[in-house]
Formats: sequence, structure tokens, C-alpha cells
Amino acid sequence: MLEALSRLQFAFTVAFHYLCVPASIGLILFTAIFETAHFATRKSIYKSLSNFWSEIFLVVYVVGIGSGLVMPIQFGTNWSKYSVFMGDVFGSPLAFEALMAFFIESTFAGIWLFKRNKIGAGLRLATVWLIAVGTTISAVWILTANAFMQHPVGYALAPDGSKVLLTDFGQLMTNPYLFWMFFHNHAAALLASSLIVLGISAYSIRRKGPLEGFKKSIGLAAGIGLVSAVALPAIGDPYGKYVASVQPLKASMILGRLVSGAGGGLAPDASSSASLQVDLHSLPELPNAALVRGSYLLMVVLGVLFIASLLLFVFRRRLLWESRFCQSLAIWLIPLGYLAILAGWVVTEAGRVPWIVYGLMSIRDALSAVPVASVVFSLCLMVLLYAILFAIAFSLLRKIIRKGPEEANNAAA
Amino acid sequence: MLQHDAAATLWYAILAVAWIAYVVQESYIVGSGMLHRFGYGAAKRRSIQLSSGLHYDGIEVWLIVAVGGTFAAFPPVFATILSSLYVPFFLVIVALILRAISIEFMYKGDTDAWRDRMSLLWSVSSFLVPLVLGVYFANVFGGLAVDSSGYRGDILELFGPVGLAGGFFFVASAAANGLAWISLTTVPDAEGKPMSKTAETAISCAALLGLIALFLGLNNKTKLFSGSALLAGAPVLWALPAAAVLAAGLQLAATAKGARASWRLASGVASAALAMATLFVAAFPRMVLSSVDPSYGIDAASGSSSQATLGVMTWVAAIFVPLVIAYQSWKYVHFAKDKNEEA
Repeated sequence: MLEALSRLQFAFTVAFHYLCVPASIGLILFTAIFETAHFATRKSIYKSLSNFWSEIFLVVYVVGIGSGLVMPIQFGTNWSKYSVFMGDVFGSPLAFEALMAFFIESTFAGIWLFKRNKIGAGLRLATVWLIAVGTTISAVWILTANAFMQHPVGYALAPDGSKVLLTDFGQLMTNPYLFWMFFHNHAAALLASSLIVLGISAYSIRRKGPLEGFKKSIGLAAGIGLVSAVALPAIGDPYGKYVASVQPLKASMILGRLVSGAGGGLAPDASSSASLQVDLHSLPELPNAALVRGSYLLMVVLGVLFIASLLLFVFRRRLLWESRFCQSLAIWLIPLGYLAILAGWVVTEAGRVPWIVYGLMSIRDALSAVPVASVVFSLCLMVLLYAILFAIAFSLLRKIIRKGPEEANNAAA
Repeated sequence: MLQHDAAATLWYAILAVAWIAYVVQESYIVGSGMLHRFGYGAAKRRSIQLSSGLHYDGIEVWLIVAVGGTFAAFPPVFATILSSLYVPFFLVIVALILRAISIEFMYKGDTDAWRDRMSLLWSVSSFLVPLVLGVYFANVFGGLAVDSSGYRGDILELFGPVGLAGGFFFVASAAANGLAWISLTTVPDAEGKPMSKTAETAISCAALLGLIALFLGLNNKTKLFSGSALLAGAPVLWALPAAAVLAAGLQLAATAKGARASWRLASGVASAALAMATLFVAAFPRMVLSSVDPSYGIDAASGSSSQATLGVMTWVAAIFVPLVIAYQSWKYVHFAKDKNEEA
């Protein structure tokens, strides 16, 4: 019960937090590009676009930092045995993320959100780019921590086996798993954000007509989106081969080489290697092969849809202000982008069950010995809080999007 | 290269500084938040939201650094304290999230009802943050009911007399500092009916009394002072608690005499910083204090990470902590003249 509730709480809070992460990474980049265009050309349309996309960024960012606070706390509250076992290696990337990334993001986001109309063009430009750099540094550190959980390197077990000890920080930072995950995640974040910009622009054009600001946004988003959408399978292919070398079980599930066996368990099919057959019997808990395989296929199918749609939008941009069907398609691509990201996340994390740290610690050994009532309390509290956050964010986003950028409204008048 | 125990001591000090930086700056931010509804006019409220909104997010990261740094440098301490104080941690996080939402979105809605609801939320969440933080610190320094198999206490125990003294001090000190921050950084109030000098003096007085109650309660519960290794070894350190009380007294005097806001803020900030420094100095090297039996507690040296981890962290902190202090100080100075009128 304790394990199920703590897992559910972590999955729920991280999934909610992760709704905000890709959009923050991408939208601040769109903002920074339009701000740079304004700095270079002094055309007011770019300034109004920078302000508009950063208003949407603001809502996502605030919900993101709020839901982000919950994550590190849970390692101590719900996963304290994990914290003791892993703290020597896992804690410092989190501390460095705060020190190197969160401070830059938060200090300058404060300036951007509360003072951007009172500061000069140079400071405006520096501020948005610093926030954008901060989000990227943040991604590197959190993925450094996650990559260790996927593929531990640069450590030794303590003589009594009670914890891992850092032996080589350089190896931690050059973990190949980190390399593949970072590029795959960042491309996915840029793609999802491009789909958000495209969808919101298409929705606004349907409501207000083909305004210049949205045409410019569509041009940029279709370009960035297409490059990211093509990069994803290009990165994904060698990434998958690499995963097969360090997590053969996950790779077997992705490729469908593990099938449901007797009693709902897993069994390798005829083509699997002998080592897999041995592995399965020693595991404390079996992963859900159908879930991993299904999520992987969903991600691939959606990836193909994204490439096809973005090719259309890059080469036939006018369709987005002439065809209602294409407008609807662009709007629906927003949730589908998120679905693809969540599917990829399920492959990565459900694929390493039963390990919380691959090969070193199983999930059930990582729990805190806290009363079940405490976890019920916190889980209910978080569900209630996030429902409120979602409602507030949704109503604000709708208001911002319906109002549109200043320049666009002036042009329409 | 530092010896392991010396590195552990250094990290104890760095984390104490991070906690002090957070608590002290947060005091005037949450103080202004909880009081912004009381008697101020509309333009003044907007101005308070702008001046506190500019800084709150950057300040909050000091909390993440303090908590994340404890995870990295002292994993068993992090694991024991967070799993013992499970409910307070979730409460403070929820209060911080609601504060962020309300301060950022207060003026983003269309209606007066939206603004008023957000204003109420900002005020209530800004009250809860120092309340729960005060309870948290009073319990950490007043000892947790931990034995060899973990936490043995219950939730009501956390909110006992010493816990409530901590909450009371944090709330009163935040309110007193918040009042000074409001008059220092915002536009003059043309339409409102601000709090009387008597009421402001009473708040400063409450902060002074709360501080004394917290110190006495902690000593009574875990012999925080009388059992302190550092205070016994270097009696000159008794100057710290004395100075904390003195600074709170100075703020009270400055408020009663109607002195400038900068004096009231400086003395209140000094008092909060010295009070926190006192707690960390008196507790050293004890990081988890057990109220069941001191032998179940965790010390800095025995609870710390490996030399390799502390070494990397020391290098990173040596570069980035000064850098962060530099750009956050620049931000305070750059916007100091700005009275936060609506743009």
C-alpha cells in the first residue's frame, strides 16, 4: 500500500511538472528569438510577439517552478532509503542545478515578469537569453542525475554495501546515457513547443484572420518544429542501440521480444538471448512489457504524423490561414505532442522497472518508513492543489490567447 | 585538499548561510504579502505586488539550495528530517506554490473578484509560509522523536509549545520586516488607511518576545545552549544570541520612535539573521537532534557525504555562490530607486 501510494504520488507529481518543462524550454527560446529580432530591427511587431509568447511562458513557468518544488522534497519524505543510498552521487547534481540554473532563471525571470516594460532594450535582451540559458543548464543537471539512475557510472559501493560513493565526477558528467537523453529530450521539448506555437497561432488566425504576427510565428515554429521532428528519430536510432547495450531488458520490451507468459508474467520469445532468460528469474518485480512496447509504438506513430504535418506547414504555410482542416490539425497537434512526450517517458521509466537505480537498488527497497496516512494526506493534497493550478492556468492561458499580441490587435482594428 | 571532517564543517557552515539567506530575505517578502490587504489603497497594493514579486522567486532558490545541499552533503540528515517532518514539508511547499500563483497572477485576471481572491490567497499563503517554517526550525533544533527505527512522534507533537513559539517568532518577525519593506520600496499611499504606529510597535514587540520564547523553549527541550559544544568552548559566541535579542529590541525602539524604514528593516533583518546563526552555532555539530536519546542523533562528520563529493561541491560553491550573490545584489541595487509604480 505504502509503495503503491508513493509511486502513484511520484508519477502524478512528476507527470504534472513535466507538462510545464518542455513548454518552458521552448517558449522562452521563441521569446528570445523574437526579442533578438526586435533588438536588431527595432520593429515593434517583434516586441509585441516577444511579449505575447512570454505571457504564455509566464503561466507555464510559474506552474512549473511550483510543481518543481515538490520533486526534490519527495526524495526525502517518501524515498528516504533511496536518499541515504544515493545521496553521495545523486544529491550534488540537484544542488548544482539550483546553484547554476535556478538562480539565473528565477532572478532574471523576476526582472522579465515584473520590470520588462521599464528596462532598456539591452537589458531586456540579456534577461530573456539568460532565462533561456538557465532552462538548458537545468535540463543538463537533472538529466545527469536521471542518467545515473538509468546507467550508474563513476561510483563504488561502500564496503558494507549500504550506499554508493562517488569516485569520478567526470564520468558522471560524461555518462553516454546523459548525452543521448539530453539531445532526445531537448529536441522533443523544442518540437512540443513548436506545436504549441503553431496550434495557438492557427487558433488565433481562425478567430481573428491571418494577422502578420501569427504568420511570422508560424514560419518560425514550423521550421524549428520540422528540424526537431526529423532530429528525433535520427537521435533515437543510435540512442536505442545504446540502450540495448546497457539495458537489454528495456530494449527487448521495445522490440517486442518479451511476451506475456504463464500467470501474467513475462517470458522471452524464441529469438531472445540466453542471458535474458536468466535475468527474468532473478528480478524482484517484472516490468509491464505491453505498456513499454505500446508506448514506444505510439511515440513512433506520432513522430511520423508530426514530420508529415510539419512538412505540409513548412511548404504550404498558407493552408494554415486558408484551410479549416489544417487549422484543426494544428490545434490537435498540441495535446498529441504532449502525448508523445509522455509515451517516451513511460518507455524510459517503466522500462527500467524494477530498478530505481539500474541493477543496484529496486524500487521497493527505496521507500521511507512513514505512516500510510501521511502519504494519503499528501497525495490528496497534491491532487487537489494541482486541479486548482490547472484550472487557474487554463483560464489565464485562454484569456491571454484570446486577447492576442498588441500589434496583431492594432492591425486588425 | 580539505580533510573530510573539515569539509563537513565547511558544508555545515555553507548550508547555514543558505538557510539564513533564505529565511531573512523571505521574512520581508512574506511579511509584505500577508499584510498587503490591511488598510492599503489599490495603487499601494499593486506597488507592493511589484516590489515583492520582483524578488520572491530568486529568494526562494536559496531554500532549494539549502534543502538540495543538505541532500548532497548530508544524505542521512536529509532523509531523516524530511521523512520525520513529512507533513510540515508538504504544507510549506503547498503554501509556497499558492504564494507564487497568487503573487504572479493577481493582476492577470479580468475581474475585481479574481483580484480579490488572489489577494486573499497571497495573504493567507504568506502567513502560512513563516508559520510552518518556524514550526519546522523549532522542531529541528528542539529535537525530533527519532530512535534507531526512525521517527516515533506524531503530528500534534510537532505543534507543541516550542514549535508554536518558533511559528510565532517567524510570523511576527516577518510582519515587522514586511512593514518596513513596504514603506521602503513602494509608492506613498494616497487613499489607504495604513496601520497605526501603535499596531506596528506591537508587532515588533511580538517579534522580540517570540524570539526570547523560542530561545528559552529550545534550551529547555534539548539543552540547545547549555549543552552546546561551541558555546562552552568559546563563550564569546554568547554574543550571537545577545545581539539577536538586542537587534530585535532596536527594531522595536525604531518603530516606536517612528524612525526611518531602512533602520527598521536593517535591525529586523539583523535580528532574524543573528537568531538563525545562533541556532546553527549552538547546535553544531549536531544536525539531527533526537529527543528520545541523544545517541540516535546525527552529527555533521558522521552524516556527511564522501570526501570526493564534498570536494566537487566545494569547488562549485566557491565559484557559483559569489556569482549568485553578485548578480542578486546587483538586482537589489539596480531597482532600489524604483518605487514600483505601475508601468
